[in-house]
Amino acid sequence: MTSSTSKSPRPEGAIATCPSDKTFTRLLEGTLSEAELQAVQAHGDGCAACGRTLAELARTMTPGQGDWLGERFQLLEPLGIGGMGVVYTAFDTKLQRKVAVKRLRELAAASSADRRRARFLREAQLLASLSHPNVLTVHDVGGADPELYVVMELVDGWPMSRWISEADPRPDWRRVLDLYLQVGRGLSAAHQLGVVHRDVKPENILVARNGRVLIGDFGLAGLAEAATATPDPSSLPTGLTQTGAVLGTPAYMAPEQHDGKPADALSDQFSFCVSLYESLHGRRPFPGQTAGEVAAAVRSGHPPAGGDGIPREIDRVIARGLAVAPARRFPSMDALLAALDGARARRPFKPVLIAGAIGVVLATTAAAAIVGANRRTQPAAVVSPAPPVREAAAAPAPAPTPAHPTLAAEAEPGTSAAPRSRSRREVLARKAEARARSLAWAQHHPEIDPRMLLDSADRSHADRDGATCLTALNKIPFDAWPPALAERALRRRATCEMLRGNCDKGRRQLEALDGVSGSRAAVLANCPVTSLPTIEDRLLAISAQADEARYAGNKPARRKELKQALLRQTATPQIDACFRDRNASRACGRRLTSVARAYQVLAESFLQGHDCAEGAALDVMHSQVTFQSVGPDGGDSALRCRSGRVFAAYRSCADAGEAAERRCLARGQAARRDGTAVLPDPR
Amino acid sequence: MIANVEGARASFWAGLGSARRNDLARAPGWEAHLDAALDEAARAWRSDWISRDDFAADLAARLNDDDEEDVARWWSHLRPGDLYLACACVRGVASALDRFERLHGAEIARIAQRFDRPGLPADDLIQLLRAKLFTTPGPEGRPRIATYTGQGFLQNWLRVTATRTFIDCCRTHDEPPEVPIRNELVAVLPEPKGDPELALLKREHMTHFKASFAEAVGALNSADRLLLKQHLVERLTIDQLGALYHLHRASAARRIAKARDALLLATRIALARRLGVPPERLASVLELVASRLEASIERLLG
Repeated sequence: MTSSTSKSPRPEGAIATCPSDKTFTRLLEGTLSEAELQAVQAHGDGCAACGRTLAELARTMTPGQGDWLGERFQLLEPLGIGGMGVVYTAFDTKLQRKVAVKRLRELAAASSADRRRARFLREAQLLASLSHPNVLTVHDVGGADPELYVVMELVDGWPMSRWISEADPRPDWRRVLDLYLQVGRGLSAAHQLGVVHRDVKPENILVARNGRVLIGDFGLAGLAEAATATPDPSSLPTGLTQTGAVLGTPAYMAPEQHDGKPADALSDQFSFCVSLYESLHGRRPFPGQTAGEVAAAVRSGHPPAGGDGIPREIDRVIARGLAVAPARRFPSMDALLAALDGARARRPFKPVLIAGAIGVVLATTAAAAIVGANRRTQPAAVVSPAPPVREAAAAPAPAPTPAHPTLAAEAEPGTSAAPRSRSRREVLARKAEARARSLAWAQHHPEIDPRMLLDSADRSHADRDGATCLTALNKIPFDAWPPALAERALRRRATCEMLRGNCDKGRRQLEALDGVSGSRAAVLANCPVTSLPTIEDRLLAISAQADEARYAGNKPARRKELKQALLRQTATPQIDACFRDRNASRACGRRLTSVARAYQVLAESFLQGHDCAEGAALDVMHSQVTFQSVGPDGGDSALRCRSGRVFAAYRSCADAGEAAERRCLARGQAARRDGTAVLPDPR
Repeated sequence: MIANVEGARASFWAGLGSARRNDLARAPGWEAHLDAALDEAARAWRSDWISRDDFAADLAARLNDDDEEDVARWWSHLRPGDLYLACACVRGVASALDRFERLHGAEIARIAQRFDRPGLPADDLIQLLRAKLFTTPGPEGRPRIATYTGQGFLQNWLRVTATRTFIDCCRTHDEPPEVPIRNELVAVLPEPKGDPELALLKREHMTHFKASFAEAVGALNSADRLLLKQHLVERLTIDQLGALYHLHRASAARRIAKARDALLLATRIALARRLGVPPERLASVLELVASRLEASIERLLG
């Protein structure tokens, strides 16, 4: 900790005493509440020892590169942490291919554990013999006490739960149903082998990039019984199989599983229907904060509510699959699938008009807020820094309060949906109207917190309503604000201008903030990239045009085109040389700034178009270019990396950066000795 | 072990403090929890290390220790099998200690390897940790393993304990502390030659810049500041940060980028205000310090 940071204020919520071992243990296991996690982070920010502990824990949680599993699999990198253990990508040295490996948490040596492990192994062998396009292939199961591992097919895609929130936040119900029909066929094939899944839920369904759907993690829940006692379900949170402690996941469990009876194919059918219902409706059929409440709702026998534009026939089929008595469900998965197929064919979808009074809109607020919360599992993280659309959409809608019309008007649903249908346009028009009213109200209430105005502006912006957004922004006293907020507001004002079609004006405002001398950008925005003579100008043009792609139209094709152009431009020998020879000074610095800026803007643009993988890749490239520009010759690896390899390059980046830093230091000292400067001379 | 439920319940109840007794009285059903925990422990370890009654008393003591914890949550996070092993180690049961070593020795060695350095080899670290775990009384007058209350897996708890212990050992061992390279970086900033006025301007602005930067760092929310620190100073990869905070790797990358950009922008605004300069002049000043921005992040956060 340097003296300069210790002077800076340490804000809010830092806990004075160091967190206990127990708290850190829970951090590792992912069982801290959000508030507890924040408290630990706040403390780790201020306490050097705990900060270091966190860093070391992160390092010990990931295997060293090249750790071996048996004699055949070499672990590469962690993919994620699941209820039953950590999943890694690994290299299968025998067959020379990449696979996914799930290392299961330690299992206690209980007598019943042996029985269950035997069952698990038997089922895994059965599954390995099953080759079905919708079942995640199990290649191998191995390991000895206490560590068991499962080697599986590596799938490039998302779990269904994240696919809905990230890859396509507004899936059509027919598309969702199609995916689930595929999943159902996979389940059915497993059932015919006599294998029960026991933990069907959206997290265990993978949607591959090529559109294939697979169900994975067969039988793992059964294994978990061996590892732990059955805790009182009434106290368990409903969302997760927390650290594998629960048999199955309460929110998706059939009533007979809640009663502690063994799961069978009909229980899988129940869980399948819960998952399908959740994916279609954006909420769970049986609400409840704890497993006890869910169990009560499940046993109550009330069919879940329909609506949300899903045909009633489909809901009726799902309701039968959700029957309390297993005998009243469909006799098999195949029967259920046939019924679902039939229900879809019988009735074409009719859009539900959400017309009429704003009261109607407000009445749906609560439901929409739940949808929003469910669908956006990572609000803060999905957002890119400057562009506002998703940020605004992710902000929780405040509860409607009569005393604050501003709040009430803002608590409207669906900020994320594009104005496609007529009803949607109507809703947007009404929201604009409501906002205008609340702004007028705010006029007479100067005591109102200006942050509310900013939030309101954000939401207008998310609805692409530039005029209202600007009106709101103009009421904000920027000068009295803390810098970060003022910056946000100024930036929003600039993007608003862009939104209204005044890209040049907006860009000028942004330039003032960015401090980039880029009046040329406005000119270059209208030039074909290839017509420009210098690389520098081309990069500037790409950046300016990416701005336009972001705000005016947001077209995927245009983004791709720009990305190609950017990659082409940054692959030239001149840029290469520029990275190598930092002494080329100012021009070099400017060029690097352009590269970084172009990457950044494109990344944001991809993220806004919900193309997260591309966005993240570009984002990382941007960080790399920015980072590498510190060192005199660390730039090569940044240039060589292309999107396919970008994450791998990113890992080596830290090492390269450190080496570069050392060289930089050595050169600096040498330069001081003999009186020459190594860094660009400022003019 | 022959089950003697009444006896075990009685010894559990006898071991509880009055506060915990009140908690349990308010939330009925603790008997079921206790029985399940005892059964689970018995299933996990066939060897008869601790009698059922004694383990029930140990459970009561651990529940007393976790006095700030909600009882329902405590039961749900309890790992009876792991706790049983730990309690047997506290009681010095040889076969339990042996079992502990076989189960967790490799993990401890793996962590110790990270802290291995001249004068403080991994083997010494492991010995130190063993002593702390099983023999040397800690600040609470008990060896460290006695403070494991069965909340969470023993293996994860060990990771935490080992990491913290090793960090402590290294801190007392590493004197004088290594001078991080990044602290030196600012010192090598070249002085512009032949233009005293510019040199003055730059020095002046660097002061402002540093102050603005410090201000921006202070204004950052603490979670973001920690994230940046871990990424830039501790050099944690996005994969590692993702694993630590249970985030998707893309989310971790974006969160870092967002925090960094917020920091730099806040600096710019603060700088413009401090200098009272029009933006175009700010731009030229910023160019002057631009190449040092990233280095400053690391220095100031570190």
